[in-house]
Amino acid sequence: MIRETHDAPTTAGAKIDQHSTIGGMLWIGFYTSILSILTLTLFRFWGRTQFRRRLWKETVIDGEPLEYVGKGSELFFGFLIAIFTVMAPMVGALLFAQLAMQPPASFVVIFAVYLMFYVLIFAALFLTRRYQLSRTLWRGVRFAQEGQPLAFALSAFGQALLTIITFGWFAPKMRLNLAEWMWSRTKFGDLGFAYDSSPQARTEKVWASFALAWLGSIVFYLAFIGAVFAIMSASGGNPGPMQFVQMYAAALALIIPLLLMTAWHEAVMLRQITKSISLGEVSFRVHVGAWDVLLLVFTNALLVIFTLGFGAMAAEMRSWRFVARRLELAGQLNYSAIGQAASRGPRTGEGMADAFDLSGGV
Amino acid sequence: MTGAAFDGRLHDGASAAAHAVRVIASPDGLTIDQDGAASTVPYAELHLLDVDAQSLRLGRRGAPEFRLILPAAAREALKAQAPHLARVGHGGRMLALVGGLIAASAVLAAAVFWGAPLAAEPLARHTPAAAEAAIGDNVAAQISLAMRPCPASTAEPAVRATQALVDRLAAANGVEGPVEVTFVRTAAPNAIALPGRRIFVTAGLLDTVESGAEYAAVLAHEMAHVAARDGLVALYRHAGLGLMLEVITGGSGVAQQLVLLSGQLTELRFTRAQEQRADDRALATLAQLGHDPGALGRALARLKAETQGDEKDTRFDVPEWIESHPDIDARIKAAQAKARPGAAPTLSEDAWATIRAACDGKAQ
Repeated sequence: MIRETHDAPTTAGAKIDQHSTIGGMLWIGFYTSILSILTLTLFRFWGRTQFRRRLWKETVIDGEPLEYVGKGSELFFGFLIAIFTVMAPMVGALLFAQLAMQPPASFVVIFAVYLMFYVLIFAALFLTRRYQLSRTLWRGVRFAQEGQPLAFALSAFGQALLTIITFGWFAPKMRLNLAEWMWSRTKFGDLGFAYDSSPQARTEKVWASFALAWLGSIVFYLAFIGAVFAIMSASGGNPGPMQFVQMYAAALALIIPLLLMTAWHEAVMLRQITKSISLGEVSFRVHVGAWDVLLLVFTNALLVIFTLGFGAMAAEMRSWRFVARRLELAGQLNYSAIGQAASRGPRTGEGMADAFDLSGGV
Repeated sequence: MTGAAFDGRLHDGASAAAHAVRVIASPDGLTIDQDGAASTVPYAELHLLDVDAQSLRLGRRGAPEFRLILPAAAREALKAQAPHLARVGHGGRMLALVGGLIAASAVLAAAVFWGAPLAAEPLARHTPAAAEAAIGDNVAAQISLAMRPCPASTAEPAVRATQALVDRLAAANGVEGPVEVTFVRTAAPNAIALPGRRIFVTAGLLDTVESGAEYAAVLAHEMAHVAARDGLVALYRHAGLGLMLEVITGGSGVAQQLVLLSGQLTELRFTRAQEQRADDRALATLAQLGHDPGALGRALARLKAETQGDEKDTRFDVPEWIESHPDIDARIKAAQAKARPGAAPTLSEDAWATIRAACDGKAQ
């Protein structure tokens, strides 16, 4: 039995009002899909920008809406730059190795390109966040992400390797480390966010929830293999349609407890990371439980499936709204003391993330 | 002279503070009074960012973080003084954007569907022979995974028996350097010209054609592809198309790209024009060497019958040079028109028997 330990609300702070509607986002998703087909997907950059403008605008913090000031053309040029400077040389090297080189030299080149590819994925995630923050305005002040993309990418890549070596057990630590890396370099104007990674701040059941999800997935696979084996044996090794229905039923029955365990871990991580962040005197809490996460993921999946994909933006909005509405801010900011961010951020954005088809973030 | 006045909120972009301001719509701009200090911003410098039932948000050119928030009622007053601050909707701009993108995508589509194939031939012509040989080695290695070579004990004598014919065909087509024939166990009747002067002949083809003359006619057709470097052209065309499409549609990662490309390597397809040229060239070569060009028509007819009789349609079961040719009957007719009964045999009975046994009945 999973018991939820929600933090009790503390002193009243700024309120967040997120009033986006599924209908509004479905419309943006719908016309973006149609226009993307008509324009060989080129419209996607502008569609995504319009989606973000709407989503930001409908998120009101302390009576003042967020504002997204990014442009579709910035995403488009960022994409072109990434294609010509990163994607084309990498694919060219792969093609050359595959077509005109012999092993083992070709393997060395392919391996090196793959290695670079995985490092660059993390760099792309960093650059996406940096771009989005630099294009986010609140009360006339920009957000900013500081730090070097390569430093983040190498650190994240090293930790990803460690996660593989430890059969996944380093994953929670990696997530917390990366969250600390990002948030401790995030700024609102000239005021930096802080991230408390001290043992005292680690109040959520990070490891217990991970252990349960990890063991749960092993039990799930063993139980599923066992069920398939039993069904196959019962059918004498010649399964009919009924046996396949039974296999799907077994998978479904087994996956629900597994998903619940995973959802618990996700909720724990979200709560832990959120409560570790502060901005000046303002601290954050998010009131999220396992069932909430499970229900969100399940309904979002239905939304995407039943709209043939154009509901993806509405689903992204629901995830954003989910967090925004459960976020509690305690403490006040001295707005007059917060100056403008030093830099306007990069001129173009997210190119690599788009070239690598990373749909992370909004 | 004073105009309508409103209470507003100003974010000056210097700090996060919101300043309560009194705004007057003067004839030459908005006069903003903040704590008794007034300044006028010309209308031309202001632009409408957003409007809803409650408020109007204005931005200022040259000051990207300047935000002036006025009550929605201000919109009516601004209509006369500065219509651009009261106008809602970017319909025109959206239309221009979509129109421009459709035009751009048409140009891109043209580049993808005509440009990439057009570039393939000159690119193939300028590829050094050594590079083509290296590419051919790789392609052959990949294809060999799906089309396994016939046993050496029977294939090697068959290769020796076919070599004189191959050399004659190569010389007649102006192919420089040796051409390598490989017999593979695939059951579907097929022959494939690969980059790097390689020809794959399937066990199915040896079972389908009924004479050395028909076999030689098929080889003449493949030799024409070798001479035109069609294998390399097809490879470039497919790789170029796949790459450009992937790039334009947002890419799906390098890994998927690789899978896609390796799939294409084993699926080289020639265009209708390439096949037509290879047929014409083969008929000319057979006539030039004193053989019967009509044998190509007979071979094609047998391949057609064999393929159409077989309902299986898996990856290697349909010969590419029939699949890409709905007008196979026209090709058969064209070859039959050039038939020369009583022409010199292309292969001795012994040589043909040895070739036919290349796979020792090991078709798969």
